[in-house]
Amino acid sequence: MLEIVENRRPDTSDTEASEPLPIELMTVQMGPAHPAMHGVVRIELKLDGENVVDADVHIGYMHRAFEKMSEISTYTQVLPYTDRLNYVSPLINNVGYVQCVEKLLEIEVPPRCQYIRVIVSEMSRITDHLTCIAAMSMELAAFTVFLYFIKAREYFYELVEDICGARLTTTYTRVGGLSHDLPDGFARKLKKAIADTRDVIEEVEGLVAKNRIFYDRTRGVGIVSAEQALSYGWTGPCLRASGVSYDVRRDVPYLVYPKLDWQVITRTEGDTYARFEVRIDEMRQSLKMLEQAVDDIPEGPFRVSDPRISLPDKSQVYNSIEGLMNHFKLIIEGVRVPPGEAYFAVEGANGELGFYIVADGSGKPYRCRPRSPGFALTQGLAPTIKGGMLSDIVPVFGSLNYIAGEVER
Amino acid sequence: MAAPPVKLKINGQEITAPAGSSILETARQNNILVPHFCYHPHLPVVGNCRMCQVDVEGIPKLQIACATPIREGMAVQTENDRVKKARQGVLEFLLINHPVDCPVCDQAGECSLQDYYMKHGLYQSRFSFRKVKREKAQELGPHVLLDQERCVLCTRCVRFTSDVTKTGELAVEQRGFHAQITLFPGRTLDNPYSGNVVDVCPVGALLSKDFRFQSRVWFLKESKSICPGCSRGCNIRVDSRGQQIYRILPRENLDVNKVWLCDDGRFNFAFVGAPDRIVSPQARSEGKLTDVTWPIAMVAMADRLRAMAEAGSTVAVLGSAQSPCETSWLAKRLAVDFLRGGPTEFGRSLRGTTGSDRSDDFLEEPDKNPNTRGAAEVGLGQGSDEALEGLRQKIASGSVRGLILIDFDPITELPGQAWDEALRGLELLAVLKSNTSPACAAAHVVLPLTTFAEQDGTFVNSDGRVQRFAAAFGPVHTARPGWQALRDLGKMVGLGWSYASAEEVFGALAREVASFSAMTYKNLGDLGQPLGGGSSASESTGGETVPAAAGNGAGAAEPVRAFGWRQWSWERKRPWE
Repeated sequence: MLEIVENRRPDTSDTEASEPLPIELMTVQMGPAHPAMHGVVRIELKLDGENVVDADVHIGYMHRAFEKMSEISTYTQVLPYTDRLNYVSPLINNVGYVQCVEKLLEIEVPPRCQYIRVIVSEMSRITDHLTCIAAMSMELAAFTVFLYFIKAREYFYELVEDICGARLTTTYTRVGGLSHDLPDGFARKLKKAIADTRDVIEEVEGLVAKNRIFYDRTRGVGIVSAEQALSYGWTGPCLRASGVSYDVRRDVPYLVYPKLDWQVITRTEGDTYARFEVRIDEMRQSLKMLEQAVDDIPEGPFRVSDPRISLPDKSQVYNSIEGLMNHFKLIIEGVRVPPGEAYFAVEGANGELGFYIVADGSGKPYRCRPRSPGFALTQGLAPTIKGGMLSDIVPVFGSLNYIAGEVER
Repeated sequence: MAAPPVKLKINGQEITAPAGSSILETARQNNILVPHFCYHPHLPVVGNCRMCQVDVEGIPKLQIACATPIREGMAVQTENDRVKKARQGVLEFLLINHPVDCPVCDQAGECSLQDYYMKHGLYQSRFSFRKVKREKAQELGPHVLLDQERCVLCTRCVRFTSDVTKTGELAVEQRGFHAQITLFPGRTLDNPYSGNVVDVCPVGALLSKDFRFQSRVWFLKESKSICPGCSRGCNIRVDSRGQQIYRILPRENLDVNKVWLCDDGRFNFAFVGAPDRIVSPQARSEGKLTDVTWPIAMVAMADRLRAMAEAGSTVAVLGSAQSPCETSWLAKRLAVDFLRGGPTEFGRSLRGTTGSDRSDDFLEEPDKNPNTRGAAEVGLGQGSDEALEGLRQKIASGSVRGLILIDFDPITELPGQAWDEALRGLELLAVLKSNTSPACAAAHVVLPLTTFAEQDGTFVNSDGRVQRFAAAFGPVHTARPGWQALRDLGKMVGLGWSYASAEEVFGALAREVASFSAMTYKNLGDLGQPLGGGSSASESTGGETVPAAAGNGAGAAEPVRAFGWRQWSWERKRPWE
């Protein structure tokens, strides 16, 4: 589609200067398969040379009907679907979802379970921020950062695999607890991972934070003011980089976050560099939280012992009819949740990750709606890149950490 | 003779109930479910399971609700700690020797033990010894298997065979710890209602051979329907998955079949998915019947009918007592409005869809057609042998040149009467049927119709009760409901019919046929209505003094169901719950 824009030729004689020079805007599709488009998203750009005159963001390439599938699955069957929402921080999704179901059931999980959930949430947050910065830097040609951070991410992925057997498809939490306890030697391995990751973050910060190219490409690029960010519905690191201090872990506390000593990181500039800085410092805070949590973790059960909610021990299941019936009904019918509706929000890596569940008394949710932080972030993408340059889209988009699985469900 | 109603309190709730009723029955009628194994509303009370114990104020020990009559001013607690502990205890004892069979037991998903354990049990087993081993998967008869280990000795099956069928095949042998259900020596469980013991058994001890291991019950869709086997019109529930019927269970209708179903009706649904279902419409061209599409077959039929009408040839309609009212009524309308002067009649199948010819004084009736009354009421004809013979003579003599056959094949049903010859002499023979039969080979047009399981409709039973049935699944192959085929034909010959559903056809039928007046699908409800009494939907049938609280005949307010008429609820209920 062509649009005619009036313009003047700068270097002509008087007689020709009054004639308008038609300029056509170029419409370019950026995506859905694009090396810098993480996940799949398509931005329809109208360019005037290098300037972005208009941008239209098209999503939906990864819609997998999570909400509809939840209606026909039991509460436990929905859990694997939650892994695949924000697939770089799957454990946070798991935790958020079961917290909401437990709110409807009006039960509280034992302290050990709460600590473990915080530990895995923070581990997931670190993997998410590592991936985000790694990808953003790689697209700005700092390939080394990508390799270093992916290697650091591996330290945590190995731990996650130790805990639940998978790196992405974790499905670790259960309604009323966890699928199983932490493995032996976990504390030792976690502390090593923390120490190693600290070193890597220092190294990368040294590489890139004061690097001329990186700084010039990110400072003052994609500025979003606090009012704009709030009006888009932003939460998480992007909002905090614009100066608004809101973190679900501090402001609507859950699990054992109030017991840990940590800070909410903010910046005021609201540009891509600020978002980068916030993520780096948030990782440091998460590492600090992990150290405290793994030292304070109490002994005890890792799930509630209510037979209406938790599966019985296998020794009971295989050797007694009562255990078998209990297991059978819980698996086939699902955990019966009394009718009601609840919303529970956790701090996801991208912001406030909420689950709104309507229960109807049966073992399947009537409705399960995730409030995805990425969806609000995507809202702000088009206004932010409009008026900028084509090459600015890359760092801005990278700093927003668009995760298709979460935005489109 | 009626004693005044009694006021009592259950769980603090004020309830008024007829005198003489038991606590359990009173609670049940007021949606308070007291768990029980041995109690059954249609079997004599024995009180041997002790699961229905409740706390009656003023009586020191817990009383069994099934056998305790209500008294004025009684205060009953069904959910206090004493009662809960008693239930747990009963469950614990019953489960001591219960085999760990859930993964292989058919009853899983609709098992009283499972359901009560999750609601009233929730304890850890304290039994650490070996369970008693008994016979498993014992054949009791042609339809029923017994697993003695799973039995909880509620004796419902024994009471059924002794009190309902009065055949007495089953009994409890031995005593105490060794007691078990068994056949009397030398007997087999072969009475014509043997399938009902599978329904009454609350656990997986008595199983249907036909249904064993076929499907898990939570995959099955439940549809309310009417058995097409005979003119009793027993209310049934069709359990299906995809386009296949897995089993048929009875539904409770106190005026028709109580809660029972004969074996002939229960086990004969194979004709729905049989290989002899007509797969595609057929039309004759150059002397041969070929598969065609519906539009081509309908156009061929409509053209021929119009040509014959112009030439003044008579076309008759021979319907069936197997067809639902909607089909029969549209057939009659077609004959009256387009085939002026054409005779109409309906045939009655000798053995019907069950292939059986037995009848008794309990449920099974000698008329093996579900809708004889309906076909007669809508004016299709008399259905008598003389009337059919009269029609055949008209065909043979040439005064009737065309015949539309619906759901009926005179060649098989009236053998040896030269129908074969008569049909072959017709100028137009259109056969509308679900399963192939000899008449199809002689036809000019064959149109495949749906069976009762694939369409909505109504049947009128021998008592004159109009009852609805719902489709369990969509038409198989290219079949269409009879009313739909006739509607399209009517449209093509210029009658302007635009009925969009069987419900609309029934609405039109109810406006035109006096005995159906004021009936709608909605007010027919789950239990149907008698002919002629269509105006007052709240009346149950006269005669029996049924207690006021009984939800018989759409008297009690129907709770709003989320799934509409076709499915009950999330809970899998036994037919009488």
